[in-house]
Amino acid sequence: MSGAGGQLSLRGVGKSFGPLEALSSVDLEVAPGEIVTLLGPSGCGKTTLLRIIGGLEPATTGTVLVAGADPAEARTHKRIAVVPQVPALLPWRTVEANARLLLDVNRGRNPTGAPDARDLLRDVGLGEFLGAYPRELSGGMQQRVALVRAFALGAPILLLDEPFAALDEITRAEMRHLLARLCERIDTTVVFVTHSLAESVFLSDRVVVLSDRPGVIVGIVDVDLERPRRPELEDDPDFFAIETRLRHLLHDGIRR
Amino acid sequence: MSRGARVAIAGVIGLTAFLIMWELGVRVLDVQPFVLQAPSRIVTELVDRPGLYLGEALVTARHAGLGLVISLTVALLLGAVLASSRFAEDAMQPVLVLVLVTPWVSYFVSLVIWLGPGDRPVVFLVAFVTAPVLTFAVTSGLRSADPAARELLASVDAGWWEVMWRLRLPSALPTIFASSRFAVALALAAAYFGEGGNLRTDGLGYLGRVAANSSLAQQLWATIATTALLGIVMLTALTVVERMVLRWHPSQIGIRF
Ligand SMILES: Nc1ncnc2c1ncn2[C@@H]1O[C@H](COP(=O)(O)OP(=O)(O)OP(=O)(O)O)[C@@H](O)[C@H]1O
Ligand SMILES: [Mg+2]
Repeated sequence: MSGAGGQLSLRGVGKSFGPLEALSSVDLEVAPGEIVTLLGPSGCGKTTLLRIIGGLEPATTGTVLVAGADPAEARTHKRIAVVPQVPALLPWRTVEANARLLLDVNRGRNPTGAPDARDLLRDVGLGEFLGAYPRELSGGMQQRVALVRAFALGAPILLLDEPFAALDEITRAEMRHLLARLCERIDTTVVFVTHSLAESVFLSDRVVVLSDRPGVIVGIVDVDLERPRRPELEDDPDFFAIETRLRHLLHDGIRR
Repeated sequence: MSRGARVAIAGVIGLTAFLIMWELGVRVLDVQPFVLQAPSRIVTELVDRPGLYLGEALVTARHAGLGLVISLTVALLLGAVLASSRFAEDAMQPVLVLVLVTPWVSYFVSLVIWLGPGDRPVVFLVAFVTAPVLTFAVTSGLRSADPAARELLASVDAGWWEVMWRLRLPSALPTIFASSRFAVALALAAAYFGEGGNLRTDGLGYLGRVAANSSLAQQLWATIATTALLGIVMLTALTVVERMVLRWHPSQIGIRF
């Protein structure tokens, strides 16, 4: 599937909850097939921004276009797949049924040519657990099911909200390598939220650094590292250099 | 020894000890027959006329079962509405509490006059008294669905009915099963009482009322014992269904069939 239409455009997007200003005039263009990371301190409005893009929350100011359409419309047309911070697997469904959950609702809008959930599960090493229940899986395995659930929808846009935040360091590293492989294989536009510098550099084409609340963009860093990204890349001096730049930007945003 | 076998043996020992003390107590203290019958006399009565008690038990089971099915249906419909609207819940809450706390003993005569003697007021009473308990369970159960999963379904614009069927109802099942135990006990009490206060129906309650009016203490206590047995049978059936339906739930893990 081509990434055509998988484009995202934010113009002057702001969000207030009553007197609390969470986000302030965010401008961002994401090209089809691009992988963009949002990096920012806790409470700066990253989740809020993802929910606005996903059509789950209206913006207070500005306009958002998802594949040329209003986010609410993109949502009804199942053009957006979400990976939440917790796996949110349904305990009464098997691994395979959980991976198909998003396809089982609002069926009339299922995209054509979605990758096969079973293939994806085998791909992420869960081939022997298709019939298992979530409680029989480790945290990392559960989050892998959540990733597959999103990819299996075959939507042109993928939104991930700190999907690996609850995992230990080693599992986290494995998960970002796995996510990079999936993104390599399936061409979608990705917006990825994280606190982790390593995750943002390893996965993205561009990293957007947000300031303290109210979140504004303090800088956008291009990640010109070769693709496909391999785990060895994390020992590369270029990788460190970008990480260092991002760390400085983050600190500037907090001290602002 | 397996855990299940240990539990069964402990239960049998407890029950046997209880029955022996009961038997001895009645004999030693020479309790009046209407106050309490010795277990041996109750068993004798049941063994003498098994067909009678089985037949009446089936009638009572039908009254209680039918009432519960109606009540559960109402609870599911009402609960779905209440779980979807805070206003509806706040509006309905006092009414349900009123139904729950009003002593049904007091208004049953009016029900018989309204619905006519026979099965109808009995089934109505069972459904009416168990509906609040089940409605509360359905409402809070449907509300308990994981917010992250709800947001996930919203992100692909799942319909109201899809969210209900695929997420909220399964999430509500553990709560519904837990409350159903109380509902079963309540239903049996209502059925027994309703049959007794009725002019034209059968059932253990009717048999008990006849016994009370004709000074047949042994028969009265046999109906009491049969109702208790019926309750155990119904709760056991409920547990079996629960174990099959909630295989995925933490409360059932470690239980083997
Ligand atoms: N529904 C809401 N009502 C009121 N305030 C909200 C709501 N959602 C978010 N906020 C506020 O908006 C701000 C941004 O929240 P958000 O969850 O987007 O932060 P975040 O960047 O995702 O933080 P974290 O990295 O800790 O997840 C916070 O101050 C939060 O309290
Ligand atoms: Mg967040």
